[in-house]
Amino acid sequence: MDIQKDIQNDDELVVSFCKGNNQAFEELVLRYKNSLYQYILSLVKNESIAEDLFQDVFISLFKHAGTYKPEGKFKAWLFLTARNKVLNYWRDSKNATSLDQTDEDGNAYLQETLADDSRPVLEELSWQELQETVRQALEKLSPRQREMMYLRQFMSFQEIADTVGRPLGTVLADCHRAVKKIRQLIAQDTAQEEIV
Amino acid sequence: MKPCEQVLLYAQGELNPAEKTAFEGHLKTCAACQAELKFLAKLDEGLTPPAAPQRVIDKLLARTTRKKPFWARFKWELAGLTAAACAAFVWTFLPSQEPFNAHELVAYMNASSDDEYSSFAQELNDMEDYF
Repeated sequence: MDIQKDIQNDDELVVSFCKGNNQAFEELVLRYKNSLYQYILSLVKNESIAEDLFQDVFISLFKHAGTYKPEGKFKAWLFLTARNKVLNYWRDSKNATSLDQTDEDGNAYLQETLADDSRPVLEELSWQELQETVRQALEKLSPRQREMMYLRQFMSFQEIADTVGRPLGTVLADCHRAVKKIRQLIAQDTAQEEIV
Repeated sequence: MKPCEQVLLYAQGELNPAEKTAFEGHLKTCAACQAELKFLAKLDEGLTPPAAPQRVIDKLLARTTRKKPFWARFKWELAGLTAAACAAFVWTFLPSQEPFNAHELVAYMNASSDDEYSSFAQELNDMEDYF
């Protein structure tokens, strides 16, 4: 038996679910549960709210899977749904946060955002220290920058551009800027610790 | 796009073969891109995703694919109500019957048979006399 043939792509699973196969829906949940949860959590930074919004996204899929056109962009569709849920949550809770605000540097020339020194800032950290350092740095990013950093793990830049509705070049610039800011934040923290 | 601007695309594996070869040529001589790639690799290492809690997944499935019909949530209550209704029906509509107790009957007959027999015999004698 050819195992590869048994692995259905996302679109096939959605179509199968629309025909009444609940197993197909559960397979989609299994595929995206961690990435989607992490994405939502990175934006709202509250586990309880992230859990509710995470469920809302899949319940939307459960109810409205028929509206999805199987064109090979299920992941972008799912993350876009999550993004809209987060934006609606912020709007309803009168939270002024926006994912569309321009970063403080504007759309600076990409070259300016590249590493300005080659000092290794993460090399000597243990795995736990590394995780904590990165987590703390991510907390200090703007929501838009943080969104870029998380989406980068699960999507190609073109998919990110499709999801957030911005040109590929803008997405790349945002991501470069986010990486640069993380580097600066970590370098600052490291310098402070050295002084203390 | 300048070579240094392609470092993210290279790290993500999104350059086409020609672009990739060109960038790798550039990488050999660009310390900034080398540092950026190392930093990105470490950054990704530190970005280990937290797993979605299993209880959240269970809750989600209970609300979607494994959702029970409305009546199924009250099946024990419904079973109890049905049993109570049946009992009430039987109590109300079936004729009541005193339980038959053979021992009591035999005891009664033993105690009263002589009197009954003698009164019956007396009645017979009276009738013979009359006719």
